[in-house]
Amino acid sequence: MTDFSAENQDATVPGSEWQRLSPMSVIYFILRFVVGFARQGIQNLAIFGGIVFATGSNRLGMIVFGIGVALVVLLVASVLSYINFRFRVNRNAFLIHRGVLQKKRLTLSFDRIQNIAIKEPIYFRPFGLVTMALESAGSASEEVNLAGIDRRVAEELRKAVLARPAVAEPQAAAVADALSNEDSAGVLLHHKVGELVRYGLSNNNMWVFAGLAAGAISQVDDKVGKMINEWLKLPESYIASLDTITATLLGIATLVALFAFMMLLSVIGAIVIYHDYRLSFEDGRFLRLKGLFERSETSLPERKVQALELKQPWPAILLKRRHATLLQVGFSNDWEEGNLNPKQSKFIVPSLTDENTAKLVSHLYPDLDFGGISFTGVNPMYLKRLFFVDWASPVALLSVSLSFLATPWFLLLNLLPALILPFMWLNYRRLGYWSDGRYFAVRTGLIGHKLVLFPLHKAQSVKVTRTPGQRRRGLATLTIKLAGHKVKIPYVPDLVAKGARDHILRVIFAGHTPWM
Amino acid sequence: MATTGFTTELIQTDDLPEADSINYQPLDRHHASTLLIISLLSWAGLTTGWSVIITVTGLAARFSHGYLLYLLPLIALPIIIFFCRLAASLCGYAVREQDVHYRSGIFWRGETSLPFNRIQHVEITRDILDRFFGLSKLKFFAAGGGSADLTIPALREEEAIKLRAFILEKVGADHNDD
Repeated sequence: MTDFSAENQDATVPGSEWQRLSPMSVIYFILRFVVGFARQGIQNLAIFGGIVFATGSNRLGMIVFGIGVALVVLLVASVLSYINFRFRVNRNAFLIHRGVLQKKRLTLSFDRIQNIAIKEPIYFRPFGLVTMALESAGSASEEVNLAGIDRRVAEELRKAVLARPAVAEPQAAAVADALSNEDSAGVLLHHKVGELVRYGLSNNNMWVFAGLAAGAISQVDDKVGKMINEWLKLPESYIASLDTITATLLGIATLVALFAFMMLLSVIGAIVIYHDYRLSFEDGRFLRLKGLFERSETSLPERKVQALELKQPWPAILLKRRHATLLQVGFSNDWEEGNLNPKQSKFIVPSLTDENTAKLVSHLYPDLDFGGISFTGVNPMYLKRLFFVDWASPVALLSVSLSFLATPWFLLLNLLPALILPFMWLNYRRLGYWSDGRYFAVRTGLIGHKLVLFPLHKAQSVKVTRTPGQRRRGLATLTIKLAGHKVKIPYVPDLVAKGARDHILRVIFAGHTPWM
Repeated sequence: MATTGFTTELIQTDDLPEADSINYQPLDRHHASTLLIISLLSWAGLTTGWSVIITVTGLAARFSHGYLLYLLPLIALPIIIFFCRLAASLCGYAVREQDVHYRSGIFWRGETSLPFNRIQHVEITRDILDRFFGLSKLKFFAAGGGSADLTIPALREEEAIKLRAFILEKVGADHNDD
């Protein structure tokens, strides 16, 4: 019913009347409310729990009544959201009206759309419907999900929108082929489950899970805490009866079990998110298909990639894999400090062998000699600063004040910097930079490493900073800002930092290569 | 270290202006005054806190010349004045053919450089102190950051407007080229 091919653009644009989403989108709204409620934290539940417990004898009735009311409210809110969500497409923009109590009208012009992801959640699959996520170049409040539209309509819309600025229009059919046909030249990756298990084992998400678990446990109600304590009493008395060695072994076994459990969660997470991962490169854009319950299709024009991040955490060294992230423009303040935005627009390419890494790099940066990268280390002053300024001095201050306030035993804290000195040394050894005049790379890490690689014309601004100690030794800190990312190399020779700055300014001026 | 390909590649290039040849212009002379007023406000706050503490804890009453403790913060005054003037004198901006630079800092000396064709938008702001002294802050924004990438904190109002017009013209001309 909707055709957005180029010939038709001057005629009346079909789909220009106001439309609603499919009624099935009510499911989407319900889920969104539930997820939103869950995100507010378990505190919400604690309030309800408190109400229920306060009512005393008639507990069951109250629970049933409470759940019933919640369900009705949820359903009504979702239906109202569905009824109030309307959209239309004119020649160069999406117009969206939404909101129940507070009406919002949004005009999202095609130029501002960074990326369109088509997602196929499991509950839409039987109906041939998809969710179309429009990622704009503006703030997060301008992100729009068109949940529950026909797959063909979504694909035509995407084609129409993404093809606009490009000279050559990518053939949608070819794209679909590229993703489904293994033999096609553009296919970069197709991950089997085994590869995803490697990813799950070797990424750092395990620690994220551990953090979430710790957070959840700390939020648990006192009552539950007491229950857990009582349940733990039995092993406690049991442990008390054991000798030291057995108790230690038991402790270690528990830790190993916990560790294994986190690993398992990480592997399951990797499989759910990246199941049947396919990546291909066609007409200057990366196309990605992934997901177990929700298949999502993302296309990312190569020119919108600001930098390539290659990570190899220590478990990944054992498994001989790297994980890549194509960094796009970020628009949150959090990006300033290198923090990850929770709603990140990161394009992750998991579990790459050396060969696959080289292939990905050659698609992204064809004129870069990836094998020829050799890093220059920073001045040993960096190690001294890490030890004395960042660790020894604050620890000494803290331990002396604590020893005055409490017990002199706190002075033992001063051993800490010496104990972690080997790690500082590793960190110093990992820190390095490289450039061939067109590309720039920075390596950081401890045991594993992270490498950020970008062409110099993607730089936005450059800063050279010198502390008194650096000035005395002719050193400086070089900070290169990209759109949404920042690399900082401390303790490089002053001349190198200033030379790099002048070179980058010249590249930007002379190159005329757009950064986006 | 100076013999790496990187270093030679970047440094031994033709007629480019050497790093130190950026010709920094001083900011408006009232910049020192605004810095001083802001510092004195914090100083006044801390001094009040100090006075309350030594009164409440009875520290001042414990010594024979305890009242001298109330005068202790006065020692900081000349130091504050000295550093504000020094900080202001070390600030500078430079507008070249294709880029704008700003330097600042007494101990941690930073120099920020922003090429014109990376500027997304330009903003002029004036807070109360700026208005009192007839100053303007000129802020330059590049892509992908919430805060300004380069801020020139104290320019005479008409100078800021002139500079903005000049740079916007440059930015516009560049965009037309593409």
